Amino acid sequence: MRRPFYKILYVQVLMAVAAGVLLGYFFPHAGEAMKPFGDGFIKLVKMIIAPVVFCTVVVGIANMGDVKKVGRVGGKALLYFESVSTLALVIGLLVGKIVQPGAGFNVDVSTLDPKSIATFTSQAHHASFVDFLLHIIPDTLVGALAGGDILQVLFIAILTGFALSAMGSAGVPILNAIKAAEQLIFTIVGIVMRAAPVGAFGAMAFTIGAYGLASIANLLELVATFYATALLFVLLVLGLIARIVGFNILKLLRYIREELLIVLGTSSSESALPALMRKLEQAGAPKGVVSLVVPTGYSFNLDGTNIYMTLATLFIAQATNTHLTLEHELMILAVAMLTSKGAAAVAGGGFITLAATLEVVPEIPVVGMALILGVDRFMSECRSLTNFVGNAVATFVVARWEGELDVARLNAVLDGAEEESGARHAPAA
Amino acid sequence: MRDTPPPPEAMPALSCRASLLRTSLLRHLYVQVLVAALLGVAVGALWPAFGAALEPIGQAFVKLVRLIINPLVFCTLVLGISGMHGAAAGRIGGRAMVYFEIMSTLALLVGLAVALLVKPGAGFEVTPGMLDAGAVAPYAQAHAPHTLEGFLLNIIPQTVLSAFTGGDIVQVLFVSLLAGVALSSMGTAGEPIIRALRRVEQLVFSFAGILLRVAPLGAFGAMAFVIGKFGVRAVENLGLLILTLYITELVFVLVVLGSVARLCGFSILKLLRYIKDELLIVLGTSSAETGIPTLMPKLERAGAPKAVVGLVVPGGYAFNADGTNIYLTLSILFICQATGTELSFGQLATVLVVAMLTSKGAGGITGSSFVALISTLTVVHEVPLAGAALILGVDRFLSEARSVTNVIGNTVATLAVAKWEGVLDMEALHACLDSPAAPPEPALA
Repeated sequence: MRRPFYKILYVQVLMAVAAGVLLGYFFPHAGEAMKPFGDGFIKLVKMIIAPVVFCTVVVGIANMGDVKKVGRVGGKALLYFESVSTLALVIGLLVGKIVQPGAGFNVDVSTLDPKSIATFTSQAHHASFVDFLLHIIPDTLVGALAGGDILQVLFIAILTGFALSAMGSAGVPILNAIKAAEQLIFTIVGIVMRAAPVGAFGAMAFTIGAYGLASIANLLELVATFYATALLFVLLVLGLIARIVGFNILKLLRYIREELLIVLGTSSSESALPALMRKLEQAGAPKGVVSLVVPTGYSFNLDGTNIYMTLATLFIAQATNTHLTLEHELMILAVAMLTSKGAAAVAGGGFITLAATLEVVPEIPVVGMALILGVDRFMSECRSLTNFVGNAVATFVVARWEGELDVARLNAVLDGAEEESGARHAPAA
Repeated sequence: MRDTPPPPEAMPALSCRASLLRTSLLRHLYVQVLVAALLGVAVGALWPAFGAALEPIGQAFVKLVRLIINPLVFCTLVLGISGMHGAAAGRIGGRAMVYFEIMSTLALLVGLAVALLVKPGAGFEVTPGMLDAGAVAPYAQAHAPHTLEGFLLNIIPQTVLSAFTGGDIVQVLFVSLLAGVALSSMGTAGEPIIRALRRVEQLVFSFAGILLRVAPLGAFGAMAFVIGKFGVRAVENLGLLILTLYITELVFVLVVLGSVARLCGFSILKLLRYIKDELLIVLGTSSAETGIPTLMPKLERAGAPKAVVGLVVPGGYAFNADGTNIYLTLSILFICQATGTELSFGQLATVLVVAMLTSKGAGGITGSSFVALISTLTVVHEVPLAGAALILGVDRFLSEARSVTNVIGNTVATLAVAKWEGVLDMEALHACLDSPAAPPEPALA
């Protein structure tokens, strides 16, 4: 049921982008006039940022408590998750700085949104460091959620999360309510994402209409840079980790190729999780580790999403000729570490967390998101695949660290993957 | 199966609240409001300064009502939609919009036709230079630039929560629709949320019950202010305009809305009797919003399903301001006639099209109709903007009539859309409308 539906949406986005490019190329003025469709979609996305961030961070912190309760394994898993996903963020940042995929786009922000200049300058006024810190504390708890300042939302979310875990069992009903709200919000995200073709059409028609066909080169460069970076991350970073643990990353990829194909087809990792967990157990990772690391990895260890976040942020900054200081970059890193948690739950979640991260640095115009809206979909597959591989590797790392990984069996299984998967199917049939 | 009316557990709370109201205050609420409003008129006429000083009382009541409108609309609409398919909700919304557009265009045309026939502004012979353009200026600044693009984009709130903290009911509708459709697709996972919302709805309803008790006070303060501040003298000067508007609104309700009611199978007069409490409160406070909290459960009781009530009543305040529309074309032509401006057929058509857009969102809040008038005038350059100063003095009197018409228009719209959907419970409707003085309460007293 899911797959054909998804395919339709994907084809829709594809066709919408193509139609947008054609319209923008042949009728630039009509193309520019399509801007409200892109704007509307971005407004929809921005509308749900605050609740998404609040719910995921609160639930994430509460879950972190649960993970720690599992003891040493949980602690090691969290430590690994944080190091590798931070590394992914840093890599995205570095690649963005070196390759400069957005350079030369020269987007005039006032054409994107005339009002943004005004807000930019007014925000820049109170830029002293103390003011900035004080501003993180919202006027009221609810005001933070209504105002949509993402740092304020993060602040109250972290407070709430820690308060809830300190409350213990007394906090469980509240946590359950927030979890229910989270589900509702994610369902709304799903509905909003159905409007993605319209938004992508408007954004592409406007981009091509306003900046000419040359802008496609910039966008393609972003997509290519992202794919290359993700590939290198898997082969080099995860490959190196795999080597240390004692197996070959390429063989692992071959071993889980069926699951990777499912992820590719659905652009969401959830559908392949059960199959992945079964395979990891067969390859010698103990059940306890698998059942802890794989699901929690989907909240805490999103390597692909993280590379995308910093890379895309830099792309937009470069395209709009926004100069970022070192403080800005550190800030993006810090905020992305928080907002990326739980982003993988739905297709398109990465786009929402990107919007959240962008809001934090007022110098980067959020409306610049219109630029990458058209091509976002084509990067979501790659995000999901990288996230998926990252968590498979994470499982073996934690298992090895615990000294519970059967390395001999692992290598035997990876070497004879064909045979093993045949054997797996036999008893199931 | 999913399209069945709300589960029984929601109903006792509703009827419980209502019966509480009716037994302790009430059967006589409308009498209280009427007496209070007349007292207000007397105070305003006898001691104008004192009457004008009573303005905060009326304002406070409207503010109190505004407090609960957003949560009320959210609960009603989400609970109404969560039980049905997204497609069904979409169809109701589509039909409501079709109905809104037809009726509000009709209202614009009626205002236009009456103004052309009666010529309430003829013989004034003022020149724009004689008018106090400064008095209009603040309103001209207040009006948001009306472009279709801006209007549509403004439906999307800044954040989901800011829809509720802001005053724009269209944003609340939008978020509620999204949440309702999301809940209906979540299935059992959404049950806890639905249960929680039912609680919240009960809370809001009992809040509304408390509010009703101070409604007479609000009507008293508002009427004392209007008469004290603007005086009966103001009425004399523009008497023909006021009279024309009141009669036109009345004829619109009885003839146009009456025909719609007849088509749907009920009598407009009986409907007016059924909602007399709300009408008097709206008349007293000259704010259409003050009718919402009790009108919504009342319409549900009269056989309109929750989803329709939740969509059409608040949606109607944004899109179906019949009374405001009549007022818009009537007063624009009044200004033209008074200042000796001739409008060609094409210019009249422009006025119509512009007014269709500017009247959106003007139905709810007192004074926003005047802002809509100003925004229409700024677009139609042929009519002198300063001419609006002529009307400013009596706008509050005109406001009474248009608010009441807006409320009646939306009540009829709700029943008409429900009928069109084939989900109007005619038995419940007639049971409610036909009973004498007090409408029947489900036996729970």
